Amino acid sequence: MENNQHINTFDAMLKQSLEGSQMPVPAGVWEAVGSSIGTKAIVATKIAGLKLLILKTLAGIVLAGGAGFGIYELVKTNTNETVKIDQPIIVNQSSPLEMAIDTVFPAQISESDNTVTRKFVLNEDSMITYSKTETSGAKESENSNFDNNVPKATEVAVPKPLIETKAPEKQVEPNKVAEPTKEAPKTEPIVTPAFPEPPNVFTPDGDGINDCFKIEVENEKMFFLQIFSSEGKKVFETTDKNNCWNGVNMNTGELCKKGLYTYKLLYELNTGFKKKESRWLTLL
Amino acid sequence: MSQPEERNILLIKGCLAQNPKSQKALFDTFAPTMYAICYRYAKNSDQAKDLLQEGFIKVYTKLGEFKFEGSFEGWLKRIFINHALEYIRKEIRQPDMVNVEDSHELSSTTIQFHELDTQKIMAQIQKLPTGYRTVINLFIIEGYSHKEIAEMLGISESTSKTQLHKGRHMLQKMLNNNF
Repeated sequence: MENNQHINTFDAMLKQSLEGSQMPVPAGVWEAVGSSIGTKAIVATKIAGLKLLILKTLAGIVLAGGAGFGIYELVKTNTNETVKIDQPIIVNQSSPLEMAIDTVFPAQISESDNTVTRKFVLNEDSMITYSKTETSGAKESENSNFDNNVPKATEVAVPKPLIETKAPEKQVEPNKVAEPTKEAPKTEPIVTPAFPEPPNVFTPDGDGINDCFKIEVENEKMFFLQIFSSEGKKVFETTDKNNCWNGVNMNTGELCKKGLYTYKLLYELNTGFKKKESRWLTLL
Repeated sequence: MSQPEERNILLIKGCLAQNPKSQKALFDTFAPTMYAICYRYAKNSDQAKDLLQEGFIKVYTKLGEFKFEGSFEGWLKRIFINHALEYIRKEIRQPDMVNVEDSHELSSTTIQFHELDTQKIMAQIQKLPTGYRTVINLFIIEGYSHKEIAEMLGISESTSKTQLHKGRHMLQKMLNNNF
């Protein structure tokens, strides 16, 4: 039948013209994608001869300050060398592929005026150790006995490729990690304990990955989370850290539309540490 | 294993290791093809750009689910198509879509496709109503059956057939008038 032949020819030619075709990508897309994937998690990057590795999740909790701009310090625990890094570090999810050499933890974050200092401690023995900031001085813990000699943030010490100095047979001792939130000194108001950064993109599509948004926090005595739509309407509220947001508007019962949301979080730890923060959250 | 697939595997592993260079390389490798897909499913360039951007965020989020079986590009393509369909599903269930009069007449002139430029066809496809455009894409280009399309879009099989028929007719007319 001629009609069918026309159809087949048309379809075949259309398919041939369009299948696998390419088009120039509009400007700005990578930047948007990159900033979105870069901010959600923890990481490995090379800066001035130093290799920062990775924060592994511990009992499902990402022990990390998030990515951000600010002053970064690395402290080698055996020599107290400090390396100041004043460029942003992308903090990403941990990677089994590079989980080998030294381990760096953003142990503490201190804030003053508009400067945030995140302190990383790097131990050649691959033992994860937390440090206090240079201002926390007096109080010591078993994992921070080097602290008294830690130079001020302004004293930049030698950047040196730490990877090569590593003793490869040493093992990471994950148990050492569990302590930081408990050890955060109560008397030091500007020191914050390591706080897990939740992923800022979540996809409530039932695939088991980032389906439900929740905040991981331990040793808290008060917890309050609110999520708002871009129009400022409240879509979720809880005082139970075990409740997660699955993308449903708690007032209407409907699934919220994709887009940007903000969450406001208020918590207080048993150490007396209190924090209030607001962040973006992308619902996909 | 083909060379491009081997290269893809390296890229994927780099991305899983959160290596920024791999992440960028993955984007650079596939964005032009994925953009062309988004473009022919979208109703305009702005929507195409949104689909591309959100699709890639999904890709990096879901990369760990890729099983290293089969074509990576095919896997990517499905993510982008599914993402586009999420947008489209809402629009496509409008009741007026089903209400299409029969038109069995196909254009009598056969179009010389080889002379046509892909981007011009794309531009015409974007002008089609969402239902026509989506079914043409899924049936003619992607090769899904009407049954599969009906399930994907939550419409009936006969609606899918009518939409295709009507859409094909309209597209032929548009291409005849514009080339």
